[in-house]
Amino acid sequence: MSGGRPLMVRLHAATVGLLSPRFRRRYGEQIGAAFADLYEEAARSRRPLATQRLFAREILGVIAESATGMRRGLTQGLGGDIRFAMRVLRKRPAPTLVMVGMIAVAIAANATVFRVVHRVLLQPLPFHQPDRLTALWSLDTESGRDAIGLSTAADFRDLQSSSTTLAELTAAYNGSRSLTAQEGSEAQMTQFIATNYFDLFGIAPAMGRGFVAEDGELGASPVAILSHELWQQLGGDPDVIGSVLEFDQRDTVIVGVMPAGYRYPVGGNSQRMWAPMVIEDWDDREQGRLFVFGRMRDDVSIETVRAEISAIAEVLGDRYPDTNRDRGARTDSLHDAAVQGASTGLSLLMAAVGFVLLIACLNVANLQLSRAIGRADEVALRMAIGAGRNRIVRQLLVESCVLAAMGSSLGLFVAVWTEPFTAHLIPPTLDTEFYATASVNSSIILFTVAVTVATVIVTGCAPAYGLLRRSVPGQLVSTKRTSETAHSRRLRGGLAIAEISLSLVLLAGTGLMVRSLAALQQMDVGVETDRVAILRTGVRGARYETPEAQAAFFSRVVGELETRPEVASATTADRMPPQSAFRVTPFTIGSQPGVSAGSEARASLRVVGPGYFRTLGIPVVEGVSFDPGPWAGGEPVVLVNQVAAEMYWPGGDALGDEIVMLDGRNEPRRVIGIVGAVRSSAIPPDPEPEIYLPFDQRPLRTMTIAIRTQGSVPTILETGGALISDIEPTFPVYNMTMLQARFDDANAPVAATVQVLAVFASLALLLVTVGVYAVISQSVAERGREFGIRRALGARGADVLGLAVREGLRIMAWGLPLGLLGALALSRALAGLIYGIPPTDPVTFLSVAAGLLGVVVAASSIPGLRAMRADPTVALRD
Amino acid sequence: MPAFPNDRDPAAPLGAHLFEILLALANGPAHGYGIISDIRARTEDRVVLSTSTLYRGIERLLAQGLVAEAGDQPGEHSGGPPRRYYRITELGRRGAEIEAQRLRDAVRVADERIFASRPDRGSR
Repeated sequence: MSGGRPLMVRLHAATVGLLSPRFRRRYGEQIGAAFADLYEEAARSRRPLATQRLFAREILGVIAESATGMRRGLTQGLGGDIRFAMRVLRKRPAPTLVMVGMIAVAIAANATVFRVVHRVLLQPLPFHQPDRLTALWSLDTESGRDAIGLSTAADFRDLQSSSTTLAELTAAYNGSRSLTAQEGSEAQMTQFIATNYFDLFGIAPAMGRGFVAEDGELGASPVAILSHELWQQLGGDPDVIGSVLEFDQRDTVIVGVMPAGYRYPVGGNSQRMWAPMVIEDWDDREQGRLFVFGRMRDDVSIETVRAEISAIAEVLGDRYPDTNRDRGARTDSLHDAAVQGASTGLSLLMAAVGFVLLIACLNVANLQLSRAIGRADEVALRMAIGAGRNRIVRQLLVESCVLAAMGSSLGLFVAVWTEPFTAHLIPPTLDTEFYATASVNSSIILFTVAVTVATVIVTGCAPAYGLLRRSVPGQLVSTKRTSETAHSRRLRGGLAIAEISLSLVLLAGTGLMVRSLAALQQMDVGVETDRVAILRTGVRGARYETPEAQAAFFSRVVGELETRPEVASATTADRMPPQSAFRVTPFTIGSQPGVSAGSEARASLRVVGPGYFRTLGIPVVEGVSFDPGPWAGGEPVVLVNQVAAEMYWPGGDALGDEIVMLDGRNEPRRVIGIVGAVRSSAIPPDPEPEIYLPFDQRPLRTMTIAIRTQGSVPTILETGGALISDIEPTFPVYNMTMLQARFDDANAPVAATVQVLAVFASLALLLVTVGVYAVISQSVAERGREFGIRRALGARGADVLGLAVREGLRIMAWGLPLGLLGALALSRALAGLIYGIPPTDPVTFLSVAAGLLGVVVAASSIPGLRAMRADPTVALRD
Repeated sequence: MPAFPNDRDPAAPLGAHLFEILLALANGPAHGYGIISDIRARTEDRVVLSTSTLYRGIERLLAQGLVAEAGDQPGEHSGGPPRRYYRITELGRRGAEIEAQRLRDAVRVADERIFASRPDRGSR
C-alpha cells in the first residue's frame, strides 16, 4: 500500500512509547530500526497483507511486553505492602472493625439480592435450547389496554398451520381430575397437554414414556403422567408404569412419572399430573383457555416470529370478524413470560442494595481519609526518604483492598449463611422450588468480586487523593497543631453530602412504596371479606351432563349449607374476586341502537348464584339482585355494576334497559339491578365494568362456593367439604381458603418487595448515621484547640454544641436539596408502581427529610456534647 | 526484575524464545532484524518474534550473561541509527547446549512413550 509506510512506522514508534521508560530508553531506537527493516522486507515481499500482519504482530507484542512490565512493577514488594496494611489496620481495631462490618453488610445485601436476580432473571430455563422457546398470547385489543388472554382452540390450530417461523407449536390448558381413593376423592391439578408438548420443551419423564400422538385422539383410552410428588404420595410404587388409577370415574393407565422438582414455568406451577389434551371443538373461537408455546426455527429472531404471529392474527381478524376482529397476538420469549412481573420488583431491590453499598463505600472512604490525614506525618516521612507518590497511593489502595477483601468474604459468608431466610425474596408469583435449585455459585462469587473491586476503587481513591493533595515532599513538620486544611475537610464534607443525598433518595423511594402498599391494603375492595370461606368443586359424570342437573347440584349444596345455624348465607360463582372474571364479552344496548360493529360496549362477565351479593356484602345500588331466584326458565336478566352503568349509560338509565351479549346466542337480557363495583387483583386495581348473569340461566360444571359464617372459617370449610362428599363422594373439593387470604395474596408480591426495601432503607439510615457521626466527630476533634480557646474566652458549652450541630446542618443543607432532586427523578421512574398517592407525595418527602434531619442532628450532637464536657485547658495544652 | 550475570544456574531451562535467540546468534553476531529473520527462516514462520518481544528477551539474556553486545554497524536495508550487534557468550553456548540436551532427552522419552504406543492405542 503506497504511502502507508511512513504512517505505520510512525504509529509503531508511538506504540513503543507504551513500554516502560527504562526499557524504552535502552532499546527503543533499536526496536524502531529493526521494525523499519522488517517493514521494508514485508513491503518488498509483495505478499498480500504482509505489512499489516507485521504491524498487528508488533502491536500485540508491545501490549504483551508492557503488560508484563507492569505486572512486575505492581507485584514487586506487594507482600510487604499487604503486611504493612495489616499492621496499620490492626493498630486501630475499632475503626477497622466498623469498616469491615459496613462493607460486609453491604456486600451480603448485594450478594443476596443478586442471587435471587440471578436465579429468577438470568438463569436459563431448564429446557432444551430455552432461548428458542416462545409463549404466544391472545391479546384483547378492544379494551384499549391490550389485555393478555389465552388462545382459543381454533386460533391455535390456525397458528399451527400458518406459522413458518416456528418449527413447532404446542398447547396446554389447566384443569383438574378427580382421583378416586379409599378415603374419598381428591382433586388433582392437571395440565392437559398436546402430545408433542414435552418433546417441544425437550423434557422427558423420569420413568415410563411421554405421550404419543394416539393418546390425544378423540376416544383414545385414558392415560396420564404423574408428577414425582403425586407418585410419592400414592406410595412411590416402582412398578407404577402400566398400573391403572381411577380419575373422574374412568380407568386411567399411568404411562410415566416426571422427574422430581419438574415445574412448569408459565401459567401455574402446582400441576400434579398431566393428561393428553383432547379438544372436542376445534372450531371454537370463543373460549380462550390454551397456553400456546412455540419453538423458533434456528435461523429466525423473536422479532421475525412476533411480526409473523401478529400478521396471522390480523388475517384471522379479517376472516372471522365476529370473534377475532379485536384480537391481536403477543409473542414473548418463554423466559420473559416466566419472569413476567418479577423483574420490576427485583430491579427495585437491586437498585436499593446498590445504594446501600455506595453509602457504605462512602463511609469507609471517609473513615480512611480521616485516618490518612492522621498519618500525614508518616506519609511525609516516607516521601522524604524516597517513596514515590505511586508507592504511597499503592499502599493506600492495598489497605482498601485488604479491608474490602475482609469485608466481602465476611459478607459472602453472611449471604450464604442467611440463604434459608431469604427464600421469600423470590416473588411469590414464581415457584420457589423451581427457582431455588441454584444456590451460591460462581456467577454470584464473580459478582461479589466485581462489587468488591468497585468498593476498593471508591474507598481507596478518595483518601489517596486527599492525602496527596496535601503531602508535599519535604513537608516534614507536624501538622497536628495547625488547623486542618480546608481542602480535606471539604472532601470529607462532600462524601457526607453524597451519603445524605443517596440515602434520601432510597428513603423517599421506600417511603413511596410503603405508602402505596398501605393505600392498596386499606382500599375498599367493594366486598366484605371478613368471615367468608371459599371452596371450589365441579360436577363429574354422565348424571350431570345437562345444565339443569348442574344447576340443581349447586343449588342443593348452597341450600343445605344455608340450613346450618352458623351459616349466615352461602352462594356460588364461576370466579370469586379478587380473581378477575373469566372472560370479557361485547354487548349492544337496546336503548342505543345503531352501534357500528366493533365499537360495542364490553364488560367482564361473571356467572353468580342468587345469594352472591348478600354473601359478599356487595351493595345493590338500584333495582333488585338475583335474590331469591330461581331464574331458570324465566325472563333472561342481567345485573351491571356501577362502573358499567356509568360508563355505558351516562344518562343514568341503565335500569330496565336491554342488552344483547354478542356470544353467539345473542339473546336480549333485561337489566334488573345495579350493584357496587369490586376490585380485582390487578394493580393498579381500577374496578372494571362488569355484568352478572344468574347462575341457573347459564349453569357451569365447576363453581366456587362462598360461605359467610358466624362461626370459625376453618370449621365451615370442613363442613362444606364434608357436605359435598356426602352428596357426591367422587366430586373433588379444592382451593379451600378464606376470601380475605385471596385479597392478601393479591398484594403479596408488592408487600414482599416493600418489606425488603424497608430493611435496606433502615440499613442505609444506620450507615448514614455512622457516616455523619464520623465526619462531625473528626472535625470536632480537629477543632478541639479552637473550641478550647472559645471556651477559655467565655463561650458557653451550649455554644460549642451549637457549632458541632451547625456543622452537621451545613452538610444537610447541601445533601437535602440534592437528595430531593434525586428522589424526584426516582419518583418519576416509580410512577407506574405507585398506587393511591401521587409520585411526588409531599407527606412522604417531608417526613423522610424530617427524619433524616433528626438523624443528622442527633449524630452531630454526640461529638458536640463530648467537646462541651471536655476540659478546655487540656485542649489548649495539647 | 533485577538479575545479575552470575546468579544463573546454567542448567535451568531456557524459555523457548530465549533458546531461539541463542541459536540465531550461534552462527555469529547479528542485530535485531537479523535475529528475527534467522528464527523465521529456520522455523518456517512458526516462530515469529515481534521486535519488543525480541528486545525484552535480549535484555534478559544480557542480564544473565548469555549474550553480549558486539558493537554497532550501519544498517543495510534502511537508514536510521546504527544497528547494534549481539554475540553469544561462552556461558550462552553452555546454556544452549544444556537446553538442547534437555530437549533431546525429552524427545527420546516422547519417542518411547508417545510415538511407540500409538499403533496399539493401549494405555497412554
